[in-house]
This record gives sequence, C-alpha cells and structure tokens, in this order.
Amino acid sequence: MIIDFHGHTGMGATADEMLLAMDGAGVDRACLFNIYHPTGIRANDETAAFCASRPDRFVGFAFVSPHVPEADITAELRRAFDDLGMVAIKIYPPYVPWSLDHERYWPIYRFADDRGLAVISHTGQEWQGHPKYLSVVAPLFPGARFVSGHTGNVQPYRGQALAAARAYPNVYLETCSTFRTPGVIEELVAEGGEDRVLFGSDIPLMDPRSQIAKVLTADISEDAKRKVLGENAARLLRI
Amino acid sequence: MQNTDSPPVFDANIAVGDTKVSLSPLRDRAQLLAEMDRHGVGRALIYHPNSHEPFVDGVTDEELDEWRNDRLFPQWTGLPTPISIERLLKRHAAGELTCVRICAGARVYSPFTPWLYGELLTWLAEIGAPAVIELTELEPDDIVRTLKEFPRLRSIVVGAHPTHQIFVPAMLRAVDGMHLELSRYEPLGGVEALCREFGSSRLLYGSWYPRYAMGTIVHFVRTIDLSDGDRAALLAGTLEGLLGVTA
Repeated sequence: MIIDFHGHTGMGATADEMLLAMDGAGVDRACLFNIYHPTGIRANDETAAFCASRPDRFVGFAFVSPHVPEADITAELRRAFDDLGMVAIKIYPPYVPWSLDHERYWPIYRFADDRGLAVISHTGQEWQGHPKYLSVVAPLFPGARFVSGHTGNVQPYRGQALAAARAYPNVYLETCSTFRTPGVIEELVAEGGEDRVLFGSDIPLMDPRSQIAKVLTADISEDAKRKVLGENAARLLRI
Repeated sequence: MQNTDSPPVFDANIAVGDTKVSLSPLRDRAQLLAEMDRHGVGRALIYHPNSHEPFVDGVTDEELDEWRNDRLFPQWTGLPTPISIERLLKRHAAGELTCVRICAGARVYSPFTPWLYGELLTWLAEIGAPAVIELTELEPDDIVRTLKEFPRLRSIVVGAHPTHQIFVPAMLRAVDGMHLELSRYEPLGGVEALCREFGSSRLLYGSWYPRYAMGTIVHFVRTIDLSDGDRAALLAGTLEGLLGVTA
C-alpha cells in the first residue's frame, strides 16, 4: 500500500482531480488536512467532508492552532478524533508567533502523547518551524510521534531534522518538498533510518506523480522504498 | 542504464562547474554522463552557473569547452556587454552557438529591459537562437514586457515553480515565442493542462541538475497522462526543434 502522508484540503482541488493524480502515482491513500482556519472547527469539518467522499482513499488529519485557548484546543481535538474520525494531527508553525516547542503547543502534544498519535509539523526555514525544536519536544512527549514535514526543506534545517530523528525514536521524516536536492532521499534513509522516512507529496500544491518519483528513482533498496512509500505510514497511523 | 523503452531524452537544463560559493557535486564529464545514463537521458544542454555572476561577464563559459561532446551541448552566457556579445559572435561564426542563457536581474545589476538587452535579443532573433531565461532571477512582468518587444525571438523560461501556476499560463499566452522548461513545474495536473492549452511544442523537459535530482522530472514526464507524441516532444522533440539538432 502506498500512503501519501502530506496533503491539503481547502486549496480548491476536487476529489476527482486528486484521485486522478493519485491513481497515476499509484497512491492508495492520501492524508489530508486544512490549515486555513485557526480554531480548527471549519478546517476539520471541511477535511472530514472531503475525506467522506472517498473514505477508502482519503485519511483525515486534525488541525488546530495554538492561537486557541487550551480548553478549546483539547475540545476540538476530541471532536476531530472521536466524532470526525481523524487519525493524526497537523500543525503549521509559520502561521503563529511561537516556535513549535513553545508551551502554547503543549496541549496539542499532550493530547497526542496520551493517545499515541502522530503530529506532523511544517518544518523549514521559517524560524517558528526550525526542526531543531523537535529535539526539545520529542523527549517531553515520548508517546507522541513527531513528523518533520518537508524534513526542513533545505540545509541546515534538514540536518536539524536528521539530528532529531537520530536522537529520538519518536521523530519521523517526511519527504515532500520543491527542493529536490540530489541524494536527499538516500540521505534521509541512510541517516534517519529506513523505518523513519515517510513519503509525502503536498497534494494538491504539488503533484504526487513528481513527488513519488523522488523515491522511485532514489538509489535505495526496494525494501526501503516499500517502507518509505507506505509501510512506515501504515504502522504509524495504524491503518 | 539507458531505458530503451522510453523515447529519447534531451535535458534542457544542467549546470556544470563550481560557483564562487560552492563546489559542484559534479566533478567531471564522466560523472555527469554516468548520471544521465542512470536515468536514460541521452543528451543535455549545459551551462556554467558561475557565469551568472556580476563582473565575470561569461568568461567561465570557456570551461564548457572542457565538458562538451556529442551528448553535451553548451548553453553560452549572454550579457548586454560588448565583451559578451563579441564572445557570442565568435561562437556563432565558429558554428558553436545553439542557444544563449540570458544573465539579467538584480544579481548582475542589469534590469531585463529592451533598452539594455535589445541588441542581444534582436541578434538572437535574427540568427534563430533561443534565449534561455531564468524565472528565478527576474520579475515575470519584466520578462513578458521585454519579450513581447521581440516577436520573432524564441525563448525558453526555466525554473517555474508550483507557486507560479497562476501566472505561468498567462505568460505563455502573452508571448507566442515562449517555451517552458519543466524542472520545477509540478502543480497538480499542471503539465497536462499546459499541454492541452498550448501544445507540447511549447514545453520541454529539464532537470536543473545538480541543483535538483535528475531522475525525478524525467520519471514524472514519462508517467503522466500524455499521448506518445506529446511525451516524445516534451522529452526531446521540442528542444531538438528549438536548437535545430536531430535525434
């Protein structure tokens, strides 16, 4: 099974448009989230409705912003998981004035820690999302599984994400990026470990058929490709 | 190894040589050819990225002579200076000029305007050599306004990004002679949409290796929803036509 760990709702693409590209890429399931509504309520309702159109192909991730008071964060996450069927959490630090290790995020991490959930964070050049902060929160919330979205995109941030993955078993690396540095997939597998790398495309911002080509054309073993393309995500999401 | 099931592949965008701030991971021609073979890429247009620095004035293009052979075609640097134009005239007289990568924008302190680049662009239009233009270096409005002044000029715009998807189709509509290189253009269904509107003769494969991995976009073009004819055009035919070279 091929699982795309990084995709968006709320960007205008229809389910049919996404499915056409997913079919072309051989993607069985795409994980989707909406990052445009801070309370999470509208975002998660939209994601749930989108995923309900093809529950066999789309998987919903919950979104909530640390702009929201702690009690509302917890309530919305409970609703998203217990009522809407979400299976993981997305955060987007560049939209807030706090780095991803800030205490404002901790209610989200506590929720993930308690339930053993994956939290995928945008990581990259933006100061709020530097992957070095994963090395702060990963040991504080060992039951949570932190996923470095884009794996920091470029150096030196990619190196920070790799360092976090080497140091903490609950840190994972996700592949989508418009930066397609030669050897990057090989580097993630060699240094982060083939059990810790997750294929993502950023659909519909980017086409899964080009993003999956990074993995398919990488000089890694077939076993590692299977893990990166789906087995690791299936294990992490319990699907 | 060469993928014999695939149409021929001609990469429009490969950089060779070190820049002033970084060593290229590509150290010699054999290494480049091995990587091309690994992805089934038969031929490539190569340029020297250090030539796109102020005051270098294209002189590092001479390194391209050490790289070029029957598979690697040089893409010479074009600045609006007497030295650069003289160098290009000599290459043309020697039958060595296939296309010119325009250096313009803030990095070389040179606005891409007809009053500065007009002589160079007029000459390229006269001799039928395409002008290669980096979208990453210029404002799209400068590109469109300037190229519209030279309707006979054929141009290749490189470096369009998924975040450029709103204006890229409008650029192609505005400038008939414009062609789009696809190394970074990966919005959902975006290449098929451009192909439907503009035809495959306006689109061409490039990797922008070693800035980006070589295999990704060639694999992408090989697998997206195109007719065999359109796929062959994107992978090699469009570029062959622009350069006037045959398979």
